[in-house]
Amino acid sequence: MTRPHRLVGLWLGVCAWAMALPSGAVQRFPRPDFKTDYVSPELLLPGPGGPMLEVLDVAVLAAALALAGWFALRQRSRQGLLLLTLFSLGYFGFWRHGCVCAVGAVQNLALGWADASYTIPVTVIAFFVLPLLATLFFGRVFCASVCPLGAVQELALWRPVRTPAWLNHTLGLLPWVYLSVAVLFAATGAGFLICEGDPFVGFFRMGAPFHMAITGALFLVASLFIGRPYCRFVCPYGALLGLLSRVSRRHVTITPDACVQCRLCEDACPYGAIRSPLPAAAPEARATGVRRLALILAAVPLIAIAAAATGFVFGNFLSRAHPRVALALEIHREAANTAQPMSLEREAFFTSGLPTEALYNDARTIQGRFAVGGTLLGALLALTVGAQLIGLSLWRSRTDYEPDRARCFSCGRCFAYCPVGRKPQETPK
Amino acid sequence: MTTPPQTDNAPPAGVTRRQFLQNGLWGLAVAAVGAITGLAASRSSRSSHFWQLDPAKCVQCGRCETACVLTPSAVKAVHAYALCGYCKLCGGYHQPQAQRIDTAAENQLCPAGALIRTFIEDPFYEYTINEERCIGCAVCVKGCSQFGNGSLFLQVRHDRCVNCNECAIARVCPAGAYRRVPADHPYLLKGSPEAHA
Amino acid sequence: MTTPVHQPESLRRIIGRRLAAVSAVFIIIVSLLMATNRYLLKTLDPLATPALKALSEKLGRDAENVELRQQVRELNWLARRAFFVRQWQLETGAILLVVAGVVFVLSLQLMASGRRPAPAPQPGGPGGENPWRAAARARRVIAISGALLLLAAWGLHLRLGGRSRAPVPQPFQQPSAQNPGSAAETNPNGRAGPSADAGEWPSFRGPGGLGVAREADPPIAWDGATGTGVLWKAEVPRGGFNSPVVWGDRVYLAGADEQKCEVYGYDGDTGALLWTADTEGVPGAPATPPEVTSDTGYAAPSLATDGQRVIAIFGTGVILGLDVDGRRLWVRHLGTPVNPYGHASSLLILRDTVFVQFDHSGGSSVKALDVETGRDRWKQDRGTVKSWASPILTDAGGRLRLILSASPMVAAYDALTGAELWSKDVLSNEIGSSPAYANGRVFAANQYAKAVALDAVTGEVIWSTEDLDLPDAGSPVATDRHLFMPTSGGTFSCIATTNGVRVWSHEFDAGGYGSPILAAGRIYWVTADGKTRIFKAADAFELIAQPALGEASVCTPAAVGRRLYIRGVKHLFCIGPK
Repeated sequence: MTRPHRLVGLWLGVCAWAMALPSGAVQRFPRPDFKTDYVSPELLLPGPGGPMLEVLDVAVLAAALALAGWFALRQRSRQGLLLLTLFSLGYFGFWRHGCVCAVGAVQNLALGWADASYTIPVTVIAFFVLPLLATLFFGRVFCASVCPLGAVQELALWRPVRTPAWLNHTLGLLPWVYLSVAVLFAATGAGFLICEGDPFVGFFRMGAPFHMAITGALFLVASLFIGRPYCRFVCPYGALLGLLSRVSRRHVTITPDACVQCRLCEDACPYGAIRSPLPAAAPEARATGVRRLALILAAVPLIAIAAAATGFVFGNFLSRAHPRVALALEIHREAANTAQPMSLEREAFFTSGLPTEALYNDARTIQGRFAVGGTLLGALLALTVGAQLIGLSLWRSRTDYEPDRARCFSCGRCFAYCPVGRKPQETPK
Repeated sequence: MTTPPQTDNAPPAGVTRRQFLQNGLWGLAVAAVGAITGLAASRSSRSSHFWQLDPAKCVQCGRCETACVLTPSAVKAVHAYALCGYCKLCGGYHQPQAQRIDTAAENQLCPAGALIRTFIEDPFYEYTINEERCIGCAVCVKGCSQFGNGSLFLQVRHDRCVNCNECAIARVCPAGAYRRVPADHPYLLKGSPEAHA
Repeated sequence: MTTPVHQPESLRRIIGRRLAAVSAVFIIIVSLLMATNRYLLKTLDPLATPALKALSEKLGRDAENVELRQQVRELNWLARRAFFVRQWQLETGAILLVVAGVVFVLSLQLMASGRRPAPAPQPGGPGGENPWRAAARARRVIAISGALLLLAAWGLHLRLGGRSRAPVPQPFQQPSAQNPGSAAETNPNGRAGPSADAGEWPSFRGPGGLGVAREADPPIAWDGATGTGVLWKAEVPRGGFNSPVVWGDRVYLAGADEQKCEVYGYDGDTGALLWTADTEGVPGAPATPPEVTSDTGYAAPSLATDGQRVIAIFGTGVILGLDVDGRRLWVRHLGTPVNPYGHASSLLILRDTVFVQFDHSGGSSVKALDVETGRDRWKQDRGTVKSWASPILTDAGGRLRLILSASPMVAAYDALTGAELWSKDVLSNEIGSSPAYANGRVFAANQYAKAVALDAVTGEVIWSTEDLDLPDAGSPVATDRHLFMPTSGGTFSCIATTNGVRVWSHEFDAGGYGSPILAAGRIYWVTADGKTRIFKAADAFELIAQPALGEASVCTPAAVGRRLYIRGVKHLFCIGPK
């Protein structure tokens, strides 16, 4: 490695430039005075897509949501919904590469709320809010045919396997866990978990890191047999939509008119979102039910406190996911002993010349945030579990077959199963 | 929820009450969504942001080439001609063990052959980047910042970048050189022609 | 709901099935190809293939071989082409994969389209499930898995939570005399060498062997003959050119002649000789010591201490580990050094490891020994000839590097593993002067060679100069701006660390083999006449004082707190306020 220096030195002599300066952005070699009429090429760099594209994105989203509502509620057209699904897959998926997406937007909001230096693009807010509003009016029509992730799974479903109801109830809590951890990570600056766990964005971009490609393939294969595995058991945005869908103004119905109790639609839903009628009387003594409910109600605050405490201490562990904390721990650990080759992070940190104290202080601040966030996260999750337990302990009588509003994706598969209002020759497709 | 038995016998009353509850909850949900929107809007900006790397912080670790969700990476080298010394022996172009100062393949540093060396006048040479070929490995950037003026540096090319919500390279950049930049200043360039004219 | 028109449906299904099968096989093949391709693309640098590297190296030795050059070019072209072909394959493969995936899914739908099972309501609800029983089961499963999750979180916390806690920021300087193993000794700060505490001078030229006493403020006036300013003065039984090392209230020295090699432990406050240890009965040591010259002797290398142990090495090749009370912990014979003057490289210590630069004509090496047992931590052979310089330790770039000067190279080793990090052939002839370090740069200088500055991290030569009075036995000491170089002739020079240009030089009336040290912004240099030349470490030469010891000296002083320990040819002096 001495050679180039010697040669550089020679050339330096030519330039009558006596001293090599330390590395960095220093003008070691002055720009030559060209004798010829040489002119430097201009540095031309392509700009990003203009704001028009983003306005278009929001407009397409709004239109797609409205159209989905119209197809699902007014037209009751599965075909229309499917066509819209294909369009969304093409536009939001393959054309826009799955970014910006409503599912991940919650992280931008969390980061924007926690970090004053980050400003949330208006597009992202629109992508987060518009599907929520649509859900408040029409139910989860966003999931039905606007979300490209849902579209992949909707179209891939081939031989649905019925998942038992108890499993649906249990796994249905996972999105809440995912959502709260993702919000915690985003708010503390540890990273965007939802984006990293996005199953299909690799397909849209036609290229993905290995782990994402594998996750995507697994989810795709699973969606051949299990209806929308990501939407039902993982999607954090779906958790929010499900909550809002419970109180939506209008919602998809299985039958266009009065239910005739023919039971034909009973197995129509591959997502386990059709609720069958229940008798007025609970299948157990009233006293037993009341006692159970009282027990759960009494236990929920205790569980919440325990979970909050767990979240408080567990925050430290979670904070290792934050690159800054990880670096501080690594530098501290390496200083205390162990022989390991220097990681790029460590080398870069030392190159930056910042004092370790500053890094350690940062790490402690971040851990403090994780402790607070972890406490909230624990308490909230406990309350969610409590709400689910209470919901599972209540007996509500139903007379008709109706969609479970929280779980129904408004996909319209069940329309064809209902004989009410169908012309005699018509057959389900 | 635990509806008294008599409501079943008098559906209109029950429906009204359920309806009332439903309406109340709906109003609550609308208010909540509105509040979130308002909160978010107070922290919002009209212009969207794009990922870019600060060449002053870059340590040329090579992760830009490998960590991008795209292959080849959206990051490529750019050349600030205003900063260039037009050296005959270029730290970014020539192998450290280069036998001769020429363009022979064995003397070239760039693994992709993306750096083009053109003679201008003795002893000055121009170095241009073939963007098609550049893979963003930063080998030339390292050489140029160690031995030269640092006129070669990496930038996220916005024609290639898909602007992920969280940039995969930013997540692993050891120097923390990545940040979101506003759309009207999408590049962080070293030096500018005016400053060095 | 059976399908009324049967024939066309069935054809659709057949097409669907065939298409699905074909596209599935296609997907699997393309995926496998792409996985391999991606692996190759990510792991293989096109120009780092072993064959190409070997050829290029060959070309480096035989630059004018036209045929070889042609070979290199051809291989180079092949490697580059392979890289781009792979990249193209990956891009094309991704498109093929997505298209095939779409075809696969569509054909599955086509296959299923004519065959939707007729709804067959089962007794007892959808799927034969009783909703109430399902709810009960869900309650149980949720409660149990929730409890398990909580337990898992606590388990993880108890196992890893302690290690996850962010470190408490600590002030840079931290007294660590009480706990020598503390993290303060390898301050990861990156701005300075290993610990430099007020209470220690653990090796030749102090902490890290850098010649810099960070916290000390030694006196500038004394008189050894009258005893003015001298705290105590103690006789040293046997002579030696090693310099005192200090930890807390103990000072250690070695002395030797043909008969005996000894280690002395002194009380730092009173000067009382507390104990004497010797090297009798070392297995493998030769009966007669090797021939050495009188200006080196057997006790030229200075000792090293970590506050709990004292390590000494002698010209016989014997290395000895003692506790602070002189009890022998271990002893080894490293082999008799083949060295016409005698072995002179001092020991250097880092926590529980002692480093030995063992360059001699019988095969040079650098070793790291466990201070507790004397066993090898690591050993690295060196392609150098004999030398008399001592190692230094730097933490530039956050990595602990051992830097050694010898002929022909200055080399850096990972202090923890012994791996050679870089090596530069910049020196020549007989090297007695140790390297210096400041601000990320290593400086090496020796008479009949040159002065060079190297990047401590990469080993790149930053500057190199020959046109100076260069040191021969004493070692330079560096600040951020200046490099101070002694000579045995008495010429002392100060050069700029940025470019090696002389800032000033001064001719003293005497020189010596001792090395200067830097303390409180002043340079202390003990010359052979016993005078300590004290002057400012500044842009211009400014003499502060030159107090005399009253006897000749070949020594590098130890500066600890407000005291200075100087070894004369007969006595050990402690200079400082009462």
